[in-house]
This record gives sequence, structure tokens and C-alpha cells, in this order.
Amino acid sequence: MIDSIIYHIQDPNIAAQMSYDANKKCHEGVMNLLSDTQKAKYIRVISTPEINAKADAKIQILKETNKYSEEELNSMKIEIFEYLMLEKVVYSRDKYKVMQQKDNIRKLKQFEPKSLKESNTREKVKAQGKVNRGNINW
Amino acid sequence: MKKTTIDKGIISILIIFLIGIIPNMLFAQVPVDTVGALLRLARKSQYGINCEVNTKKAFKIYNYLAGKESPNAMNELAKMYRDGEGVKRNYEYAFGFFKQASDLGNSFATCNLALMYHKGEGVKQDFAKAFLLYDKAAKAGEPRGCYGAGYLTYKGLGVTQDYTKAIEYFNIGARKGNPDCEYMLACYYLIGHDNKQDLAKGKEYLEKSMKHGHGWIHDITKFNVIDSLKQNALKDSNRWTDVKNGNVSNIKRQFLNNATESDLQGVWIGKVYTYDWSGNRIEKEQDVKLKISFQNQIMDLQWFENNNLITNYFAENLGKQWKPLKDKQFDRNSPTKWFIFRSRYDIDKTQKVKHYMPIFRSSIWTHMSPHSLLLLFWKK
Repeated sequence: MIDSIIYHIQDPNIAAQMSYDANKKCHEGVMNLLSDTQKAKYIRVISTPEINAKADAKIQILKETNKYSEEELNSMKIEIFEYLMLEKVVYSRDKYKVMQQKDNIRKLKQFEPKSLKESNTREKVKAQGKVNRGNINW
Repeated sequence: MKKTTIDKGIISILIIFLIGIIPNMLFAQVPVDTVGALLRLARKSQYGINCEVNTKKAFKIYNYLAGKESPNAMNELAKMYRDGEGVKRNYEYAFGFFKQASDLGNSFATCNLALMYHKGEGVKQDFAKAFLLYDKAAKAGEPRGCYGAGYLTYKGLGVTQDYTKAIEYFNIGARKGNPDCEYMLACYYLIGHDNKQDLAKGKEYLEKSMKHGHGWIHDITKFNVIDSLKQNALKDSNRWTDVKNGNVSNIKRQFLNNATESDLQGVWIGKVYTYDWSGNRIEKEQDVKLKISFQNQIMDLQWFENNNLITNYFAENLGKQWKPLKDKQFDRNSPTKWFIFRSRYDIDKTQKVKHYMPIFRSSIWTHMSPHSLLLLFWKK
């Protein structure tokens, strides 16, 4: 619906700017309508599949180490999911207030679960090519 | 007339009622459940958990609870004053609230108070006081206290350097899952302080610290730190012999501060020996070159490493000592305090090297680690 306003615009830069402005206005309108609790609920509902997939990817990295049982992985997935959802609420809510978003994410990082930190570190080490069958080549 | 008397009666009853109730409202203890709920609410507002961040609201709640003598709220309030969140930064208030919370038995606050002394934030830096507070928190079972006390003991800041005691602190913290303590243990075993290098144990602690959320592990793999430590360990035996034979450590006692311009002018080559924190063992040696020239009695010292100019230092001769210049004109990474010495001393008894110029740092020098000793030999 928002994209339909740029249907007749020839210059792609102007079209992109118009689309951005319209999206921003629409987003701010919705966010102003909702209370904090409603915003959190709304974002949780629309983002659950995405966050679930992200949490799965993080858990997969931990699973490769063969150091955790299924039960431990399940509980880790819950804490990672909850934390990523907290971040998602900030990302979605402050989508167009970039500085505020960064500041709020920085504050939230204090609650980053250990399992997520481990998963992120392992991901970086893996990108360096230093992981062999889940073990780190020190 | 009657009406006025009735009004007066009602007013006096109201006054008596208010006099009775106000002190109760002001000084009544807030139920524990309410304190917990308010703290949770403040925390949510402070960090924006599923709501907008509102540090001012959080500050007000903490301030209210601090008035009701809640140590947790005092600790959080002090943190807000320290970081300038929701209120203007005020180290004095931060210190006061940390102290109050610490006195009420909050070990987090004790650690934060120790950190203020450790970093010199708002108070004069005092490692000895920091150590005492960390130690107090450690004894109360706070792993951050174990890390702080261990760290200061490990590096000999404010307390006598002692690896064994430091490791005891770190072990206590590591048993409680503190990633920093585990990381320090890993460093201890990997570097092999006290000649006890144990790579397997070091790696094990690195894994543990990663598991508990330490974020530096990928740097260790990225820069092949463990490989370089292995290579260093191979050279260690020679270095250790040097120290034991006194070839290096004796020179430390020969410092004289009587260098003149003609003595210093020219090119000097030599080595920087970096000691470990105990000051007994050389961890690293590096070739360096210094080029010293004088202009209008101002010394220009150029520091080269691998034939690359790293930095310049400037100093003037005050007769008995060399004073580093901190004027804007000269302010380019000037060391805070340094000395230049000259003496005739045969280091290797071969008569080939007759002069040496050690430069000994005090506390802050951009290019040398805290326990470095520079030995420079004049090149003929």
C-alpha cells in the first residue's frame, strides 16, 4: 500500500526517500497508538518466527561442540530467545530513532545471557577457520 | 458562633490526625515485597525492558528506596550518579551511596567502591584501599571481589606481589563461575609465571571463561597468542639464567642520574627487557634504537623499533635531573616521568661495551609495560 505512492515516480532516489518517509510516518503512527505493553506484545507476535530462527542458529553452534545435553540446549534456547526478543522490541520500536536505538541496545547488552555470548564467540572463532569438529584449534 | 466552633473542632481533629499519620508515612518501613517490586520496576525503566527507557523514573524510585535504606537501591542509585544516567554525574554522591550500601552489607556496592579507588574515579587512586575493599567483598562471597583482590595481588598493586595468593583468589572466583577469574587463571597457566607453564590447563580455563561469557577468546585465536607463548617458553630458560646470574638485575642498582649532553648525544642501540609482574622474570626482549640530539639545551630523543620511528621525547637538563617537557610544543606522547642515567660499567666483561643507559619508567609509559627495564648500549 505504501509502495503504491511511488508507482509513478521515475527517479529511484526520490522514490526511495518517499517510501522511507511514508514507512516512518506509518510506523510512528502505530507506535504512538500503542502502550508499552501492547507494543511489546505486538512485536513479539510478529517477530516470533524470525527470532526463533535466530535462536536456533545460535543453538546450532553450541550443539556442534557436543558439550551440552538436549535439556541444557533447550533451556539455553529459551534464554537466548527471550533476550533476542528484548532486543527485537527495541529494534522495532526505535526503528527510526537510530541513536536512541543504539543506546537502548547498549543498555540491554548487560542482560545478554552467557550462552549467547559463548555462541557469538564460537561463531567468530569459526569464521577464523579455527574450529574443527566443534573444538577450537588454539 | 456554633458553626465556627464546629469548624475549629474538625480542623483540630484533622491536624491531630495528620500529625499522627505523616511520620508513619515518612518513616514506615516499605514491605520487602514492595521493595522488590519497585526495584524490578526501576530496573525495567532503567534498561528499557519491554518499555521505553526512562532513567529519570528509575532514579526517582531508587532515590525513594534509598531513603528507606534499601542497600540494592543505594547501589543502583550510586551507579546512576557515577555514570551520569538520569541525573547529573556526581562522584561524591556515588561514593557516599556506595559506602552506605557497603556498610549495610551489599557486596556489589563494596566492589563498586573498590573500583572507584582502583580507577581513581572521584577519589584519589588508592590501590591499598581498593584491595582491602575487594578482599572484604571476596570474603563475603562475591566473585567480583575475588577477581579484584586477585588482580591487584597478581600485579602487586597496593599489596605485595604474590602469584600464589592471587591464584587462590582466582580459584575461589572461578569455582563460582566468574569468567574474569577463569581468564586470569588461563593467563597464569599459559604464560607460565613461576615457571609453571601448563598449556592444557590454560586452554581448559579459556574454554571455561568463554562458556561463562568472556568476550576476548576470539582475539586469542585470531592473533595466535598460544603459539607465540609456546615460542617464548622456549627462550625462557636463557632469560631466566640471565636474571639468576644477575646480569640484568644487578644493573638496576647502578642507576646514576649524572648524564651530560656530551655523554648522551649520538645513537644508542640496545634492548628493552619486559619483566613479569613479580619483577623476577623477563617475559620479552626487543631491539630498539635511540637517536639523541640537542637543540638549545633541549634534548630530542627519537625512539626507533625495527628502524621505524615510533615517537619523540623531549627533556631539558635541570642540572641534577632530566625533566620531560609537557608543553604543547613538545607534547607528543611524552612519558609522565623518566630518568636517564649513565655509568661506566662493564656488562659482559669484554670491554667492548663500556657505557649503558637504562631508562626506568614510573607508572605510565606508552611504549613499555609496567615492569620494563631498558638497557641501551652506546654504539661506537
